[in-house]
Amino acid sequence: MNPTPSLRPQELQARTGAQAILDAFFRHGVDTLFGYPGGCIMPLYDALAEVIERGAPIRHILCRHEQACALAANGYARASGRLGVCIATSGPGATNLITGIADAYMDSVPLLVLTGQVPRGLIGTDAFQETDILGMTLGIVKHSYQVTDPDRLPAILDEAIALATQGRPGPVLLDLPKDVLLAPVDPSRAAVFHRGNTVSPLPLPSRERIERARQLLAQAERPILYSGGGVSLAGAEAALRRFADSCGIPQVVTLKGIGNAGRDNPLDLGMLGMHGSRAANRAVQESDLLICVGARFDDRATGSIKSFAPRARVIQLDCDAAELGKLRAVDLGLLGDLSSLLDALARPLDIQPWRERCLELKAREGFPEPSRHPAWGRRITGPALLARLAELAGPETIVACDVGQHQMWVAQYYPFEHPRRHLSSGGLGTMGFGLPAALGAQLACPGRRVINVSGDGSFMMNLQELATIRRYGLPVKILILDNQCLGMVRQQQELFYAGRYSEIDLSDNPNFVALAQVFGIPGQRIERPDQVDAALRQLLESKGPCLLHVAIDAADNVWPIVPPGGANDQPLDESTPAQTLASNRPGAQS
Amino acid sequence: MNHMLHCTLHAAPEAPERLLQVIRIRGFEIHAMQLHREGERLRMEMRLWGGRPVDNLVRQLEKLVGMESVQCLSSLQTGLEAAL
Repeated sequence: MNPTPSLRPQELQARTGAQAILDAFFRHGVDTLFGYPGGCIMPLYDALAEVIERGAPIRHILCRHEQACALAANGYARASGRLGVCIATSGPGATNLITGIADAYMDSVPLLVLTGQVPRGLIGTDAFQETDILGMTLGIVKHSYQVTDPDRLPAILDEAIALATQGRPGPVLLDLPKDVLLAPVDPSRAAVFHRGNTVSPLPLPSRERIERARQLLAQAERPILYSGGGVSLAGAEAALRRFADSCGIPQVVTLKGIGNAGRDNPLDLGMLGMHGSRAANRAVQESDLLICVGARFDDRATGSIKSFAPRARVIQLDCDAAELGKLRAVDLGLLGDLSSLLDALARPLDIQPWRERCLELKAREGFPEPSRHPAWGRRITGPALLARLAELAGPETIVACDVGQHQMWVAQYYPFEHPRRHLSSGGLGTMGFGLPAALGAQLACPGRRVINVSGDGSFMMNLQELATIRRYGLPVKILILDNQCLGMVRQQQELFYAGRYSEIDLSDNPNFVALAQVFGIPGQRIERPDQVDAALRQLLESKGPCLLHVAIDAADNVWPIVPPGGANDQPLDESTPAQTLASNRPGAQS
Repeated sequence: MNHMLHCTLHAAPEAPERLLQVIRIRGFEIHAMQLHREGERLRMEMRLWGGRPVDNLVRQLEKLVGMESVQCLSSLQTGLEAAL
């Protein structure tokens, strides 16, 4: 871990609280801020204007809604692995950030959140634009501070940035009363509070525990590597691949683990869980050892936890002790740095019959080729469109999804070379995530092509960010799969609520192409399969931002689907008899 | 199932709220509680009720920034019983 940078000479002179915040950004190499100004945060914006006028290496991206500020910073962090920073004023500015903070918390995204607050003397008086944002966000932050002593600001900022980025990352919130931002920071007191706060790397578990894990591996006849988003958070992608190659072990991934195995790994069975492949779910159910790496047995991945991998022993590797055995009892929990652990466990395994079984499962029960869809050639389907997009876009492209059917089709049909190229709101499932996340990713990775794959429902939730994309000239590509309804809700109402459709109709959507053009972004609409190739090429080759609006059928479903709360070995698909579908009434779980 | 929880944490105005919220969210109810401030530390003793594994709650509490120690008497007893 990097030690806390020392205060620089100019920081040992009198500074205001606002200036001390900017000093901390420079000290830590933060150069991009996503924010929206307002009353109580104005002293910070005033100090920011001053340093920008002086040519300081920092830029501020003015999004058009505070939720988008948080989600753009979130996308910036996911794509780059660096800290994302978002800023809003007190009251409604702060409350508008909450969804983005929760999203970062659920997916362990390093985020620093700065909110303005009314002056210290007015806190607790129901002042104009006063909200208790610290209290409101306690359950969705890794840590938070209300800064009441300006002299502590430099130390608090260093600690906050360390907490957000080290160990299991997460959002850290600083609530900043206006008068603290304006107050002078006493350099001598600030230097006293400012101390090193490096986080020591976790030590490797004992030799005995490592040896026990190696024994379990050696004894296994049907092991499966089950990895999640923690792998890329730990920068352990290379170690995971070394381990998998060394063992020759079949593997499955969670939604956030997509890309861990690389794009063309024959033993990668793909995503498991509710919309996972039958092959992945069946292999897990048949396994006798699960090696869980940076995953958390989320209910969308496991289905009914009681029936998940019923014959498997479990070795769980994580950097967070609270995840070990949280939902599934483990035979061995290994706490530590994932790369070191994986390297310590790597060994060749004598499991050829199992490999052959998994290859057979993958060939027979992997996600079906889009050309097997009954509507192939007659109309555009999500799987066919996204598989073709993947072929044309290439492995370097970043895809920021929204939430819904299109998100699952990306997970199923778009292979990724690296997990940081697949940005998807996994834990919170935030509709409206995709467009701001894409603009954040584009700012973090200006040399890469960034595509927002969205649905008509999700796109409408943050479409004001078209203005941000236009303002900063970001070449984000937008692909909207429009089925004129809330497709995932419609699908579940069809399957699990006896086809009683409730409030899913979006057939009065605006003309998305005209809408984009109002923001100065060109677009086109297609409806037929013979238009797909040319339209995708045009989208991908456009120099600036561009939108492609694709009409798909409202009746298309994401297959397979494990009923919420159901067992992963009992998925439904288009071949499931109608009477079986009718028997799937809503359960207690979502 | 009842559990006795003893926590020592760095004193901060919001520290008790932070701790209590974790207890509620992770599925436990507080049936009795005492809190003392001793210098820069808060000591909180609680009797909890909940049906979920209390060790999971302890690990969540140990993650809180500023938490110095968490002891759960029932889990200690459980461990003792297991050893015997």
